[in-house]
Parts: sequence; structure tokens; C-alpha cells
Amino acid sequence: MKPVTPAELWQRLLDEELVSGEQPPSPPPPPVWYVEVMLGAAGWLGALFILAAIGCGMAAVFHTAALAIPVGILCCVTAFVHFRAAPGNVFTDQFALAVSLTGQALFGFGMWNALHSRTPSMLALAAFEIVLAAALPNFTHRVLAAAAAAAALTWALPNGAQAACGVVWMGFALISLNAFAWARRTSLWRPVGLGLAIGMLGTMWMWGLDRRWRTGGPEGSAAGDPGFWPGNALLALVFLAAMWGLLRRERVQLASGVGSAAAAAALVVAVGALIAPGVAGALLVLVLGFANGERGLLALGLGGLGGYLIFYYYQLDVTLLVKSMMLTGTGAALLALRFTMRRWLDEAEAFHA
Amino acid sequence: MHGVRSELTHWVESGCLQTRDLPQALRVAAITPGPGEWRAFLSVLLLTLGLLFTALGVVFFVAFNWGELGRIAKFSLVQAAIAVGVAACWFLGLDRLAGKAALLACTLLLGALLALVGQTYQTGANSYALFAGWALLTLPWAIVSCFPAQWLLWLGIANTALALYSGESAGLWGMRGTPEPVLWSLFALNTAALVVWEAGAAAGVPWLRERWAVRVVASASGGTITTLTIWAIAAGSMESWPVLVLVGYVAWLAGACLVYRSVVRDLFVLAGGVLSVVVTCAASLGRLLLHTSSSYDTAGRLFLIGLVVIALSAGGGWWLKSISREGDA
Repeated sequence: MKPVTPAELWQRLLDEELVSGEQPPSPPPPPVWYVEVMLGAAGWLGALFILAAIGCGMAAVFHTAALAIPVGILCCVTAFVHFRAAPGNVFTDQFALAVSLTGQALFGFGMWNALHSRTPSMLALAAFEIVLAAALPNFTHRVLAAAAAAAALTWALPNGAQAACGVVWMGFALISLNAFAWARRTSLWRPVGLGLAIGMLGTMWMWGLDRRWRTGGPEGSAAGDPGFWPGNALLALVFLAAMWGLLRRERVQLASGVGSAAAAAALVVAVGALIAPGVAGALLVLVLGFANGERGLLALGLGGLGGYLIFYYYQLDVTLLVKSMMLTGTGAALLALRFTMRRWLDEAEAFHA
Repeated sequence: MHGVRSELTHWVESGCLQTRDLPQALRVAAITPGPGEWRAFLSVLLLTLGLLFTALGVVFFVAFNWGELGRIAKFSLVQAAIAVGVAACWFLGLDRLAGKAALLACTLLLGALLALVGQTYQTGANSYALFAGWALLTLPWAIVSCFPAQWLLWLGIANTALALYSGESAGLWGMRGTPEPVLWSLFALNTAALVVWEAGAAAGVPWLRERWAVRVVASASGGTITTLTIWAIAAGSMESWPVLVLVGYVAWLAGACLVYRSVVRDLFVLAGGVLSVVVTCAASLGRLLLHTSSSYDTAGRLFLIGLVVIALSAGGGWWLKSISREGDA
């Protein structure tokens, strides 16, 4: 399909009586995502060198929480002042991004030195990242801060990692489902949503890691841990709630063929999520990305699904036999749903014809 | 689509378009899916996930019981799966996505069969022989598929075969332990693939025009030459610079810039090139400034390298944005 120009779109909206009058002047074109990824990656590289310089010249900063935390906050405040007061210059924006990333790393180091414990230091870092994501008006910075907040929150709770993931999933779903209602603050919600999606998928790969890394417990299956099954059930519920919210937003009737198939498919995936929650997470990003016309999220969801399934083979929580039964059952159910939906739609079209 | 979305956002923020009318406006602009697109998406999603999960379930089941299976059972399982896949491809036809997906699955299963042959009949063959045989046997399938994903898989198999062969051959030339032969051969293969792919797209072959697949190949080509350059800079002797590698790198950069700036216009490849330049310059400066520094001035030199990285990336970002604006104008 030929892409529509802004002028053509304005005319179509005039015809639909959604707008009136002359078309307003066009805003500056938005940055392309891979340019932002390049700038973000290079910003990280620059921040690493600055961090290394601080480590060489002022090693005491890293070892002393009383120095690291205020210096880190000062770096972030400097970046905040720049982005609020004088944004738009590529060179200074990039420098401010690197300074802020340096400050965040110093804050994290300082919190670890001060608290000597994973949970409070990661929770403090997550809160700090949330404040930065809200306060600093730069797209790349907001994406990175939101992703860091998601990762820190998940890493903070070794025995409640699924609960933390559930909070991140809910945040992502809320932002995506209300993307249109909150359109006046798109500059805030869109990068935060993207960052949460990246954080979601990145931390889901953590499920494939050794149990010692995830929970701090001994090597082996986590299925016997107290929070494992309730945690996975929570994630399945969040997925179902998000899909129900999407059906409501799109005004799809559950009694219709597509509505019934979508609801049944969501239920099938949610049951599978009890054993493989990462599948539900990746599909959450994929489906909501498609719903909002966000091709980046669609691609992230696809990549996240593939990456999770590769890690899933090596995960020790349940045996290969249980995984095999879950996957085969889920696959067969989804194929049956597709067959039924196509038959129902073909019959409906034949009836109306 | 990206520009139209930002226009709609601007109209909402300026009050020209009401928030409650935004969903309808997005559908008018064909940014968000309508009922027809949702039906098609759901159909493709259910089919793809259904096939993928079922196939993975079978693989996991076989893996679970692998130790108990006899030789005949193991071979029968894999060969039967390939036969089913080929039959499905024949029945569905290569014009349909389901048929292409079936052929892709057959390609993966053929690799599993060759691995099983190597595991069962220990002939002492080199490991690259498996991947080379896999690439050779699946080449006809790739040719008839006319499917970018199939060709990317084939290229991945060929890359693995070449890397293993180069690594083993390097011992013959006294270069064991160095990644240079492997990286050079991978760079040659991926760059040749990129040139052929772009030539085919320029000649009008429709299925070669999908940019995402070309970008993967371009990333492989750029990634290998960048890795080679950084390794050569970091691992080389302090008395001389790796001239051949640097000449090759600069030639690749110049060629990519010329083609993707003026002929094909792909910002993704140019952005990758900018990142490559930033990382390579950081490595070069690190070698120049840090090798002989004392602990006192190391901090200053590291800070200088950080500033250079930031300046280069910002300059590259400004250049890319100016090219993007030219395209919009």
C-alpha cells in the first residue's frame, strides 16, 4: 500500500469531519530508531570511558558511598538541566546522555556500597531510574532509563522475580492500551513503553539462566520454591487481563468468531505460561505492538520469543518431557483454533454472500 | 508511516485533533490495523505459533528419550519428520507462506539428520564437513524457495562451515590461535552475498527487495570487518600498524558510504557504519594513548577518549539526521 502523505491524511480527516480548517505546520521529523540505537550504544561507550577515567583518577569515588551517590546524582542533575534548558544540539545532547549514564552507574555503585544487599540497592536504583525516565525529556534516555528500571526491579527480588516481572508487564500493558487516551504525552509514554518492553524481554532471558543467578539458591529446579507457581500464575493472569483490555479497546465482541478465537488463544497461551511464562511476555509485546502499529515492538516481540525458546531448552525448572507436553499441547490447541476460526469465517462470508 | 504518526501526535498535542478521534485517525492513516488486518494477523499468528510449538514439542520429546532410542528409531524419527515437511511443502506450494515455512523446517531437520549421522558413525571427519554438507544439500531448496529467511539460514550455515574450515586450515599456515583467517573469510563471504543480493534487488527480483534481510547480511559484513580491525589494532605489535586490515576497512567504509548514501539510500547500514567508526576510533586511540601512559595521566587520556567517542557519535548522528531530512524533503 502506498504510504499516505500528511497533506493527504489531513484531507481524509477533513472528509471524515475529524478535523477542520487549514493543516497546521509540520513538526520536525522524528529520529529513526536505528539512529537512536547507534547514539545510545555510543553514549554507553563514552560513559564507560568517563567512568574508567573517574575510576583511575578518583578511585575513592567508587569505594565510598558518601562520594559516589552525590556525584552520581550531580551528573544526572547536570544532564537534566541541559535537556530541559537547551536540548536539540546533537553534540551536547550526546554528552549529556553519557554524563547521565555515568551518574546512574555511580549511583548504583554507591547504593551497593552503602547497603551491601541486593534487594534494597536494586529497589533504590529502580526508583532512581523511574524518576530519571519521567524527568529527563530525551527519547533515548527515557528508553534506557525505563529498561534499567525494569531490570533493576526484577533483579531486586530473587524470590519474587515473577511478581516484579508482573509489575513491569502491567506497566507496559497499561501504557500500550492507553497509548491513544494519553496521546498528549506521547513524548513520555512512548519511549517509556519501549524501554519497559526491552526490559521485559531482557529479564525474561534471565529465566534461562542457572537458578543460582536467578534466585541465589542452589543449582537445580526452582519449581519447588514457594513463589514459583504463584508467580507464574500471576504472570498468566496479567497476560489474560491485557488481552481482555485489548479486546475491549478494539470493541471486539467475544461472541464473534474472531473474538472467540482470540480469547481462546489467550487462554491457551496463559495456561502454557504456567510452565513457560516468557512465551506470554513475548506475545504480549508482539500483539500490543501490532495493535498500536508499532513495528519496532512487533520485531522485539518476535526476537524475544525466539530467544526465550532457545534458553527454555536449557532451563532446569521442569523436565524436557513436561516442556514437550506443554509445547505440543499448546501448539495443537492453537492449530485447532485457527482451523475452527477459518471455517467459521468462510461459512459467515458464504452466508452473507 | 513514521512521519505520519508524528504528524498525528502533533495534531493531538496542538488540539487540532481530539484525543477521542485519534484511534479512527490512525485507522484512516492505515497505521493501526482494521478488522481485516486483525483477522489476517490472528490467522498467521495461530498458524505460526501452532506449527512452531508442535515442532518444538516433538524435538523436546525426542531429546528427553534420546538415550533410550535405538539407532533405527532415531534415524526413522528424523527422516520421517523431513518427509512430512517435504510433503507439506509440496501440498501447500511455495507460493504460500506455510509452504515456505515447511521448507525452512526441513532445512533445520536436515542439519539434525547430518548431526545424527556424525554422532552415530564416528568417521573422524572434521566438524566443518557437517556444515559444508548441510549447506551443499540445502542449496537447491534455498534456490527454489525465493524466501529471504531461507537464504539467511543458508548463509548462517555457510558462515559456520567457513569459520570452522578457516580455523582448522589456519594451523597449516602457522596462524593457529589467531582469528584473522576466520574473520577474513567470513568478511569475504558475507560481502559477496551482500553484493549479489543488492544486485538482484536492483535488477528487479521482487523477493530480494525486503530490506530487513539485506540489513542482516550488511550487519554480518560490517560486523566481521569491524571485529577484524579492532582485533588487529589491539593485538598487533606496537611498532607497526596492521596496514592491510586498515586499508580493507577504509575501502569497505568508502564503498558502503557511496552505495548506501547515493545509490540505495539505506540509513540503517549508514548508522551501522557510524557505530563501527566510533568503536574503531576508540580502539585506535586506546592503543595510541594508553599503552605508554603512566597511572597519573591515564585518567585524563581515558576522559579524552570518552569525549572523542561522544563527539564522533554526535557528529555521525547529525550527519544521519541530515540525510534523513533530505529524504523527507
